[in-house]
Amino acid sequence: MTKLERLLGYLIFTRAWTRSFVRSEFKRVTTYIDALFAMHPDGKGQSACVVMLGNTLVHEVSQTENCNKKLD
Amino acid sequence: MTYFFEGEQVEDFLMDLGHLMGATDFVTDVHLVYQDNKSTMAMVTTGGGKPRTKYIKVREEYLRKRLKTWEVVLEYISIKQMLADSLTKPLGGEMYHTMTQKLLGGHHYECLNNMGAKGKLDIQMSDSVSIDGIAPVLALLTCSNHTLVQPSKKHGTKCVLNESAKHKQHIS
Repeated sequence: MTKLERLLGYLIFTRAWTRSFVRSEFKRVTTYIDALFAMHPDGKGQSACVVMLGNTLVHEVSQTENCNKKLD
Repeated sequence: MTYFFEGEQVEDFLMDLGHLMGATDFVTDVHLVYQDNKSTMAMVTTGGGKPRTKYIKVREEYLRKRLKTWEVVLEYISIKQMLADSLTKPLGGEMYHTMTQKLLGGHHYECLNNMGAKGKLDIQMSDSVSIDGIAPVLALLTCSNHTLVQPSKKHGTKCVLNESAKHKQHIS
């Protein structure tokens, strides 16, 4: 129940957050790539990618890695 | 390295879109890739690391070739400026808000003040364009899946081997 309340609180607080296209020069595509090793309890990692066109978010991916961390 | 290809595909798509629209100065600069891990960058630039699998080696070579011909620029960025951080790790309040603000266009704080009764944004007050007005373009551009990252419990050095296994083996 605590988790549900927290989730609902987050959704209510962020319901006005929308993605905006900012006026800027669309000349360069910038990719931000980040990964976190073995952050999940089952030993899997998390990786994410954000593609920006100028100052505008165009594409984003966030997914759990398929392979587990190699445990000794 | 997989995401590098993803960025490249998006760049190609946007360039094609620019050509279709007849824009001459649309995506003319070099594709810039930001990475916050120096050892990963060294794997590509100087050939460091020990790749244990063949497919990583192939991707490395491809990316290295692109870097040599200056079709792609790989640059280091600090963790505080890494926008993809909010999609990988559970950040703190202020950091999360800063990152989300940058990702969403940096105007949702203004929009919160300019909101109407039904939650629709006042476009004239903001410098940016609302998403509702350009829905067809949005449908083309945002064809990605967004996954919420659940904040994980701090397990320290202990890590569960397999979630499905009944006997949880902890390593220290």
